Amino acid sequence: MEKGTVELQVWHQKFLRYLACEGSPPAPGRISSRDPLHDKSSSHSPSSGASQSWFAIGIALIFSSFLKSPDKLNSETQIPLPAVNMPREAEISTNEKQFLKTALTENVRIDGRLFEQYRPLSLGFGEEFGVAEVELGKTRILAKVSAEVTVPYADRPFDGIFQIVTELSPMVSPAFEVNRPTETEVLLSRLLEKTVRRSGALDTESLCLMAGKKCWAVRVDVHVLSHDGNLVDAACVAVVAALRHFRKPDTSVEGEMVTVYTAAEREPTPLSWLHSPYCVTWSFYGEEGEMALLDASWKEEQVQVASFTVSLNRHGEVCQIAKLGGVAVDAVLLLKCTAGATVEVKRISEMVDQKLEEDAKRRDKGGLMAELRAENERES
Amino acid sequence: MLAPAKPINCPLASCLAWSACPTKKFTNCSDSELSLFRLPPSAPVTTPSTDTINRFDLYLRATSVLDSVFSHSPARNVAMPLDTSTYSMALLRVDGRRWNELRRLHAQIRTQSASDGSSYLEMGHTKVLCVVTGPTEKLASQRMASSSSSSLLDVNISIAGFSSVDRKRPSRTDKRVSEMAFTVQQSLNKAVHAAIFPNSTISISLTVLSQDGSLLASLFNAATLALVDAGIPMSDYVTACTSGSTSSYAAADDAADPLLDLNRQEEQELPFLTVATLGGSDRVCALVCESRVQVSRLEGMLAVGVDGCKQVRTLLDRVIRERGAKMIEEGAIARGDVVGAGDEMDTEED
Amino acid sequence: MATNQQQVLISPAELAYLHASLSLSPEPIRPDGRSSTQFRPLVAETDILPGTNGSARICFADGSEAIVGVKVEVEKTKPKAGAMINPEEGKEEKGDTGVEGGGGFDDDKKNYSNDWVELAVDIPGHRDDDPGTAFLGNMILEALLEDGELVKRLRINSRFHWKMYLDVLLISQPLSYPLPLLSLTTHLALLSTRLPCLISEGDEDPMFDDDWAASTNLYPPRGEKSKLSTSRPPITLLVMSVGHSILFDPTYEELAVADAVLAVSVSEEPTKPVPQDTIATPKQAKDRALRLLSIRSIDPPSRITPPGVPNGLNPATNGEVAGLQPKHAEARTAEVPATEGVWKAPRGGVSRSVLSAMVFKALEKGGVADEVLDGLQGVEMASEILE
Repeated sequence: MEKGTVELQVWHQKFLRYLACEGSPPAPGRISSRDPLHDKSSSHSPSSGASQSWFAIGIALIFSSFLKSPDKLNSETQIPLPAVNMPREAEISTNEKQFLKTALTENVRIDGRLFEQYRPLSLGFGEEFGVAEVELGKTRILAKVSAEVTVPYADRPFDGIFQIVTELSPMVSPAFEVNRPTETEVLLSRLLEKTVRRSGALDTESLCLMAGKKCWAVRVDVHVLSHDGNLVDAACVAVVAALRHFRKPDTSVEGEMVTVYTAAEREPTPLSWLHSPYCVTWSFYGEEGEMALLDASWKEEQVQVASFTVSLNRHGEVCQIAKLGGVAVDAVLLLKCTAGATVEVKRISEMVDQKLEEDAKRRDKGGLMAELRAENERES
Repeated sequence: MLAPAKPINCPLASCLAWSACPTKKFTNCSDSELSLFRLPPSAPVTTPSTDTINRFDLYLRATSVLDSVFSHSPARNVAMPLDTSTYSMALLRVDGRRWNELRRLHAQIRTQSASDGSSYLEMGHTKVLCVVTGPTEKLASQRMASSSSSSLLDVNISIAGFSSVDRKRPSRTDKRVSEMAFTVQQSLNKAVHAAIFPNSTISISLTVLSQDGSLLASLFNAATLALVDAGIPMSDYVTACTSGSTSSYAAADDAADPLLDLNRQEEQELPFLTVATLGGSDRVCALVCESRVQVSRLEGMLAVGVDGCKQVRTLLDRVIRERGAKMIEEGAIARGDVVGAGDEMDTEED
Repeated sequence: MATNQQQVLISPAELAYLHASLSLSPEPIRPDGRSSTQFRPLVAETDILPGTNGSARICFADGSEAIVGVKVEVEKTKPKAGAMINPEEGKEEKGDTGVEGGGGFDDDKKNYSNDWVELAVDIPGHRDDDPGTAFLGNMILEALLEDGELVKRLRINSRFHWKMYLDVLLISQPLSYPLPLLSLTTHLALLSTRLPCLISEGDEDPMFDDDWAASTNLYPPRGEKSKLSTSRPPITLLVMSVGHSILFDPTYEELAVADAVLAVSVSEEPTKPVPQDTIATPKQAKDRALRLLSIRSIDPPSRITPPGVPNGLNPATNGEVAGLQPKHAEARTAEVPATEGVWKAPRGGVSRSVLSAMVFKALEKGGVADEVLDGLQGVEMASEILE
């Protein structure tokens, strides 16, 4: 036991050194492990000596994957492998977990942030309308809005169709496969659905063109480009920003005829937007979940005992709350977290508004008249 | 035994005097039968899956007839104006309850002999069956099945097609259902002493027979009972109930009251949340809210919800103890086992 | 078969004992001491869910439990394509009935459709598109449609009908093959099904009585005046054979050594409607005429090679082991005539005489089907008395 603590202290110091160098610790990368031995080696090798560095572990991992080529395993010796053929994320090692937890009890987060501090959040828009990219630390999310005219659902003749589609591709992590929704994906899409769609942020009635016959179908595709924790908050900002940035073609209805105008004919119109909800996620640590962290990174998420996502808009309306299990957390702490979230949401909300404004200014150089004049010049 | 609800943030201090009626009335009386007469006439319906107006009309007539026939829940998919004015006058809800009154909670354990643990739970007209099998050895296919492969519990929810007023074809891929299953699994996982069962799995299969609000809460309670019946060591009961607020998100009226244990009609009209606590303490396992509500309203709703969970815990505990006593009487179980377990629980309560 | 996933966990010695005792003649010895035609005791109740039109729950003694709920909706009847093709028939409502049999009633030619009944089976741990589950559902539905009486009862008038949804839930794990359990539960649920009383007349848009107390039974109880025939819903029985013994309601252990398993669906021969002025006396088993609706054979577990059997002994691979033939050449000859005290999975078919004996035994007067129908009628009556 004592040896373990000594080891841990050495590690701790090492980490602090890394922190001082302003770099994130060169952790054993999240390697797709097709065989269970990886996990064993990653948890065992550090115990072989405190001098062993992270790099060595990484090499050991790669090495062991050479030794055990999958072809060899699949030959006639049918060893009952626990992992059938499902790639998964390498788990965080026991030592690293312990380190994270111990550091937290000393009020230190591994990336040096305060407990209630977000990672830097940046938002950018594409050339097209309705494309937004959000970076939250190393988490990157792209949201793209598209719209087309279709037939409304028979049971909702006066509403347009609005759907949010999330995709976690193998690009993010080998644990995600196309067409096989993982738990993470289901929860992410449900949270976005509840936050944005169910809370009525988009006025779906305004998407109706002709009752029961024609309506707009607005679809948001959320692509996760890289996953370093807190997908929900980042994805929510991306979805809301993309929807507010989006312009759908203008239409006119005459009798039974619906005309959709191109951008050249008529200026595209923004969606009828009612309020902007944002998610704020807290992670809990400690035996009874008494420590609350804002915006956990991927590694911190692996150690959390519970998480709590609350969606609010700047008017102080809760749109959704989700604490889906985990360790029981004191109700008062949850209320405190909600109060903290309202502050955070105001900040995010201002940031998004400002970015949208900047983008609008950038596009609208010299105003509408200048644009028209430029077009005429080209034609003549 | 039953502490009257705390009047936290509730301007209904005067109402408290009324609600401190005898505990029997408080816990076990209910809306159910009585309420049928107080419900407003059923409203028209949306959603015939047809395009002809003719059939639409017919559907309206036919279903509104069926509605009154199947009187268990007049609420439909479409929002119907809930007459909250009656509430402000008489301080009685649509089904005749007070603000802090639970519906009738009826529960049974050991309903099925083939399984390791089973339970049947009614909260008002919401009826849930739960069957627990295990612990059994984890199959190779299950080990890697999900990202939470280390999880001991495996929760499966099936909602019967006939459980709501309109028959709905059960769908395998309903994300709402898988989210509920995830919530129940993650909450109970922490309550069960999982370290005792390495490399095993306990499968909990929940069947919803009838829905009338507080669905997630009923699933929680039924699963807890069945786990207790299966003899799985847990740190305490995980109990759940819903709480709501009488004002909608738009109206910023200060006179809004929190409500306990909403039925389907109230759920469709009012903001509400589901709260699950561990052992009737103030510690919240799960908190799910899917409606818009002023953040200032949250505290009151949460307090009432947590208090409701305490009441539910008392009721569930009574069910377990009564059944245990009966089993000792019948000689199905050795006396010593139960007394030991019971004593432990008693000390916990104290 | 839904129980495929569960491997038979019975030792060779047990299998041999089961096979030997079950194939004893004249009367086989079953592990639970039942006679060959006896059903396991069951607990049944009807009308358990007020939110449905009809519901029932049955628990078998082995702990398997099923719940069936029935819901109906009014639906507009689609004019049949056949009605357009046969203009010489005169009336539009005449068309292909799509229903076989049914005797010579004059409402026989109305445009019934098998789409009016929808059935979904839910088995814990199995997807609803699992072949085993779909097969179970289709076997139950097949009997209901083949009977034809159910669809006739769903007609409101020439323009409207009731659309019936049957949801069959197995609550417990599938211990033995759940077909008889699900079928009997469906039978009871249909018997307890009530439809709102029609107050409109003729072909006008249907209007119904608001009063649930005035609702009518889909299958009117015996002795009640009705313009419909007094038939009952069909039931499906599971029959298995071992050697020359024929056993009903087999358990999980018994199925493990079965030579053949049949699902036999039977129903009563529909009788003429009871005249309006006389009240019929409850029918006795002796004047009930049974008819066969369908027979399906089901693969018993013994037909499926258990895991762990070396290829050399596996009939499916013909005793061959790829690449290892010379070494294991003697494995093929290991297949010797039956040894005393060792049971081997049956090969080849079952003789026709055994199959026909299985069907006849199910259908014979005072036989198993009669007994089961009487038993279920008892449940129905008991619940009426309780009301």
